[in-house]
Amino acid sequence: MKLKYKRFTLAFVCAVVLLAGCKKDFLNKGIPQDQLTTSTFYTTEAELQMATSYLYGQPWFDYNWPFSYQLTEVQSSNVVSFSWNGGARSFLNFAVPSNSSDTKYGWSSLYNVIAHSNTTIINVNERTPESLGAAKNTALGESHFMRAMAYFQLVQIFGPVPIIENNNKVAEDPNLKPIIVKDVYRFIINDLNKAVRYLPLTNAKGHVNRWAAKGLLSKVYLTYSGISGTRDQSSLDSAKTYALDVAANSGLVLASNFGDLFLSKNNNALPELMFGLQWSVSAASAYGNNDQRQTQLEGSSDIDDVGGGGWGGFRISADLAKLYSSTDLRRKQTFMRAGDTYPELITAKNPNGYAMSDTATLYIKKYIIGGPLANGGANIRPQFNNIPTYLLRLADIYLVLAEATLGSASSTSDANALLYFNKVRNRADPSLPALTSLDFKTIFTERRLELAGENQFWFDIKRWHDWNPAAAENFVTAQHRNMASFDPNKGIYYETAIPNMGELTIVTGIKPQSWTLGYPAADLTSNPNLSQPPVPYY
Amino acid sequence: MSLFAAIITTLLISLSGFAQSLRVTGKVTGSDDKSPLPGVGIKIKGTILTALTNNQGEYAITANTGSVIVFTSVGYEPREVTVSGSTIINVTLKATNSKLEDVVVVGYGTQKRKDLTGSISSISSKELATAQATTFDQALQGRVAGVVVQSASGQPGGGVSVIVRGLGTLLANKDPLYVIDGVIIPPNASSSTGGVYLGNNQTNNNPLNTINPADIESIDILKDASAIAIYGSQGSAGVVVITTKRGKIGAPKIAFDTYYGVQSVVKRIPMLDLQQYAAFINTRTLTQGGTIRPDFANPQFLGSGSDWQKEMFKSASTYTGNLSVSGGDLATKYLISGNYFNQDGLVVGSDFKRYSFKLNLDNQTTKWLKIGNSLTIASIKENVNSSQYNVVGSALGLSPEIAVRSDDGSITFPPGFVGTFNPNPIAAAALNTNDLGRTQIFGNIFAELKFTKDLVFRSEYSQNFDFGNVTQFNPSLTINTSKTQSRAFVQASNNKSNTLRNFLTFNRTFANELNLNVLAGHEASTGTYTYLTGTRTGFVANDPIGLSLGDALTATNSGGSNNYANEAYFTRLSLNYKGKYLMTANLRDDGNSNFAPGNRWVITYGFNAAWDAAKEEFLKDNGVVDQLKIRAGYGLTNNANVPGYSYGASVSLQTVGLGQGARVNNVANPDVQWETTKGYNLAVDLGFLKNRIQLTADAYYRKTDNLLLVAPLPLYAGITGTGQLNAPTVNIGSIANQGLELSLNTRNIEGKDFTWNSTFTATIGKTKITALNDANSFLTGIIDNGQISVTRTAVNGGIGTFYGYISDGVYKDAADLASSAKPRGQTVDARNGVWIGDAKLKDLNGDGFIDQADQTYIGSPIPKMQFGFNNTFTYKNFDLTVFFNGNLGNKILNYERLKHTDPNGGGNYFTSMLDYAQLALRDPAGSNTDPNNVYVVNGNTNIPAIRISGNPQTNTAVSSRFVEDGSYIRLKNLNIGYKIPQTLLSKFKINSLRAFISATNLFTITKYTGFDPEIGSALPSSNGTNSLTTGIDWGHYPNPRIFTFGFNVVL
Repeated sequence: MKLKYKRFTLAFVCAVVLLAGCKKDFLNKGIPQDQLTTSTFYTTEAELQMATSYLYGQPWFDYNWPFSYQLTEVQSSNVVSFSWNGGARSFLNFAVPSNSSDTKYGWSSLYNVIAHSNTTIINVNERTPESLGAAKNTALGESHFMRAMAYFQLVQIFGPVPIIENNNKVAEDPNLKPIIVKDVYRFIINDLNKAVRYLPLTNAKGHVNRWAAKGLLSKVYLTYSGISGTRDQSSLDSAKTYALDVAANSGLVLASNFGDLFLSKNNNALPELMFGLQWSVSAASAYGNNDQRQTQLEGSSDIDDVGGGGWGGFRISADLAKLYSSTDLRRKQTFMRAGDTYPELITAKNPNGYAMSDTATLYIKKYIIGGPLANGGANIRPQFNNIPTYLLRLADIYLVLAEATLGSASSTSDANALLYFNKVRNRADPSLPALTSLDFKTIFTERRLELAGENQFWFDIKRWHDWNPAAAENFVTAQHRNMASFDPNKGIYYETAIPNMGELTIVTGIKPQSWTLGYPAADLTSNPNLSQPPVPYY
Repeated sequence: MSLFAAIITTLLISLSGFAQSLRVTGKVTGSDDKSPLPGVGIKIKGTILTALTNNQGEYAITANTGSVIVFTSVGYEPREVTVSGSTIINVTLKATNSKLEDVVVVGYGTQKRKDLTGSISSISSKELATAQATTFDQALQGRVAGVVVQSASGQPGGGVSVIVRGLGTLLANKDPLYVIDGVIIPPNASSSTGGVYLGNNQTNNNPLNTINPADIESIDILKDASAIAIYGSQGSAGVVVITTKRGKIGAPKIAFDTYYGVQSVVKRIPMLDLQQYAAFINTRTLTQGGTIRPDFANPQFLGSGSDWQKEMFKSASTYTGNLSVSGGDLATKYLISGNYFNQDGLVVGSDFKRYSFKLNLDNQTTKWLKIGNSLTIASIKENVNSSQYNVVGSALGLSPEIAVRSDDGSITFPPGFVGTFNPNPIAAAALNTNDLGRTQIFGNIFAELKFTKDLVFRSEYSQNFDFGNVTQFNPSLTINTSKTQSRAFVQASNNKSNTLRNFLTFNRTFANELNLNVLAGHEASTGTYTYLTGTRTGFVANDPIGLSLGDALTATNSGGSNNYANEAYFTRLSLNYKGKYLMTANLRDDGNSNFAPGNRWVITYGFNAAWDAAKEEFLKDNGVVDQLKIRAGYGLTNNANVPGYSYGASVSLQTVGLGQGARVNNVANPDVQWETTKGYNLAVDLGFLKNRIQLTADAYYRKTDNLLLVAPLPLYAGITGTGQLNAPTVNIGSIANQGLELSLNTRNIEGKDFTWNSTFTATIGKTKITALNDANSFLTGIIDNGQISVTRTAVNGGIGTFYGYISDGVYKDAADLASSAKPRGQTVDARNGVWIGDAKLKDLNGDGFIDQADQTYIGSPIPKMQFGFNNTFTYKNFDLTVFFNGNLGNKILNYERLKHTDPNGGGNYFTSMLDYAQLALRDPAGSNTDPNNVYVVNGNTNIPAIRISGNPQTNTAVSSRFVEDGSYIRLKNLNIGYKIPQTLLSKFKINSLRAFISATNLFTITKYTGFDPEIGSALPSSNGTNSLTTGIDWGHYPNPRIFTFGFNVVL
């Protein structure tokens, strides 16, 4: 009896255990412990700044290198490369295939920037308390600026492109059609108007402010002015207004020395930088926050002496080299030729700086900053260097002002246009007398000399092509897409054929469709709507 | 051990009574091989008198004249002998072979095969032994009807894909639920080293490779929805229940099994040697108007150059030793075993080692309490360099002019590549360290309380500790002129999970006719994954490589944890009326933390019924049909196989250019739901001629709704490349699977000295997408870092069907070029346009252009049928096993051929490339850029010509040209054994000794031109990690041919 009673009790206890199950919160697991969640983020000023800081780096990584450089510098023939760099070679000869990995990376990278900008805009709007006021506006302004910048690159490169404002919606309905160019610009301008409204006049170091938004707006209007085939005066006027506002009212000034812009010790310290992509050399930085350009572009791995480099085989073209006058201070900061010495490029091997001795080719200098010794001990290493990728600087806006003021006229003597144009020119070459009249070719050439290597020149040619296709195409086909050797004794450049490329450096591939790149093959295949004619967005 | 005197266990009572009491002794042997049977249960009918045979098969029991002794042993027909007066009764038990008496695991309990209502396949330890697999999942291949098994990589210990009854999910984790001695290994659980980047040719890190196949007693695979339902949410892709060996009543048994094997590569692909290569490069250079390289001027004086295949494949050994001690009495049974396994990889930079120990105990503590445990401790170490550096794929692309080694034998680096291993993967694999180590401790403790004769309560607690260590080290080397920096990465991780399950079983037979079995229980599991990683660079020396020896200023670290929880209530009712009418019903309520709070709980259920017509009067004693069982079932199962926290978006912190940055990782889907599968099953079990012929045929139909998938979105959704926003997990559509599975067991010959048994299994299945969120939409399988789309999955089509162009030879001449469709936007131009000799593709829509719209389905990677055919022969002391398996009707996209047969491409080439289109001039003095002057000499080729410049993408477009028939038949295992005669052994006090030789993958009949048609689901890139990209040969690590010699000895 006793045993039976005991067993009954046991059975009862077991049954209770069975039926009771676990506590209600037992299943409240699965929330990551090594990450935060959006549902609790965006509630302090520090968190907002972390959210926007991210937008300046990793999402741009695949765009920064090599796509953007090959498109803007190689396709425009500022830079050429050895024949074994097939990716660069295809840009040199307008033969980029639609399954090009470079195109794919460029495209997806810009859309990654858009995705993160969208997410930040939506989350900040939904989750950030109004009490954060200015900080909330700043975060919104930076995100809108960033999204505008990405769409501006996309529309210049690909023409009509899908517009995405909410990435959750794309997931539900992914097969978008491209949007007509005009509406993409309208979208960009809307974003920039919001950025102007939200952004403060000054912002944290490296973060954009209201002047950057206005500067970009002037540039967008300038480009937009020609897309119909003739230059639209009202857009030119807007471009001029915003550019002049920045030039006259921002208080920003040009750096006194051109070369100062490309020293890492001046990172984000010079007001001339209005927007740049930001990279890290920290040992702790995640992949994608690093800048590979120095490692890829340097003519010799001895320049930074951090182990390897120069893999891309990039050299300055004869076309660009011959354009610099002997007194132009920008020349030495843009490329190295035999006989140049750079005392700041100190390495263990070259305690007195790097002395260029290769007479066969011209090495790239812009963005080549050397190793740790040349940069105050910074952790520079292969594929890690820390100078921002300039996408907008004051000199650019000054030249936009000149171009917008000139507009469709053959020349201009507008005082403001001359004032700011001459500031740029004078810094480069104080020996030159100030110009009193500007024509298109003068402004166009000055932009090339000033901004060579800074991801701009192809867009300048393209902008020209929009309203004067014949002239732009003639310009391209007449270019000398070859390397150059230099005789330091005579001070003369000799154009040299790129080994194993023979006559191919003569442009044969340019076609009407070369002025925009094709969409990546992967998206064309997965989305037949992308091949449909573009549709309006508004 | 055989020195021990016969141990005879007689229990409880000595009989009192008036019949004459005798002490009966004797020996029990098996009919199959005449060997003594230990552990045979001996019982006097109608009493509780029991005894067991010892290791020599001897027994002793006290009986009365006229009483009946019953002899029972698993795998043998029971036999009854009446005591007539003789005190010596020797008995031979007949092996049943019918399998009907076999015990099958049905989930939280067991049943005899003849009483099953669901579809469950089983594999015994004997079958596992002949397979000689590194991991047990490999051994399932071809042996289980309804289960398609493909090894994802030939890398030792590498991943194996196991698909039960077709793909019912599109997420990467489509594997079944594994339950090992009660320890649940959920389908989405990675091992502690699972998250480690293994290069482009990522092999699945196999979470099951710690399990020693020799420890396994049986594997039961639950296939139909109703059988699965008791396991609820985690089992919707099938359940594989693994029971390890346990001690049996009897004298201590010491067994030692060992083999040594040699592995070699089965096939090499003919590639250009240096002379051929130089001659070809010369031709191409001249065609393109260049100057011949001086070193290539006289190809006949060159050597053969580097043979990269010779360098990457090596002859490799494999060895295993397994020692076990087991035994027990009525109170306690035990098994202790230890194992060492070592397999060198066929490809440089791969090997696998495993050490494991096991202790299983069962104790009948009191009449009402039984306790016990299962415990396994295993440790593995894998070298995964070959995967990390994609040695197979990379080495195939290298030209023979690149030296692998310098003259002194040291590894060299190609000139021009400074500070990088590229492109010498042999060097990378030899000099770097990429070790994965795991130590796993798993097991359970249980207590069974018998309240009454019918009511049993079982409480089981199981725990799995999985500790992972990853060590990666890149030494500092001088590569050409430049020195690389040494770098170490280490990861220590800790993957813990535990399950507490309690259930009551009520089992009673009413009036000897109706058996009722009711089960009710509760189960709760939690798991935590914790990790810590660190890196440093700038090591003092290249050895030793401890993290602390790197430059502290370069140190980085990261860490964190994740967790999950499941909870369930379940119940099952089984009815069995005279073994004739059988019924099972299951119900389970599951909760899972992977979903948002409102979506966490879901009901799973199943119902099965069976009728054995052979037990009806009208078929009784017919002498032909022994079993004619018809089974039918229906069930609804749910799948929680979605990454945790998919319903929300997470934010990770990282160091960016502007300091601390916060990155949103993914697009959230707050509405993500359970994937639900409705399954129907109709089956028949037939036994003829005293069960000499047994056939099981199952037909099934499964429909899965709310299909879960990481949304395959276009690039512009911002979901690929660096700094992407991960795509959301969505419920995107429906899949239907239907199929037929057959399992035929026959005992063909049962002679005195010679027997022949065969088993044939076949799985015929078809998978169809029945709905996607948008009827016109489709999913695209993309490989090569998101660049190449190779498959399409659309409504009414299969999963991951190859999608591309139809190859139509090459443009033969100007007329052909003029009359054929050309790529859209291309003009006829020898330098930059489309040209004679370029690959011609079919203009399917007839619009006069070749563009994306001309792509179509060009083959499915999913086999129409997978089969296995096993034959076991015995002749006296010899035994022979011959096992064939194969796939029929699947296609393989030979991506390696795409890369290496384009004469305008780089790297080295398959020799088949030399059949490229040869261009000739009609007027030799005329222009080679005038289309009317150029024609193709070998017009029937489909390999494009050498171009003067440019290379239209049509030449390398994914087309039918690269899709090959992947069907194969393979002699998977051949095993010949010889049992040393007992008479000889007894002198050495040995109970049994069997020596064997064996061959694995001896030959393969296939049309496939790559290394190995068994491609499986090797994942070619970060984008290819789901079911949309299978059957693509991308430097696939081939399965080796293995010859082994070994023996099994029992003391």
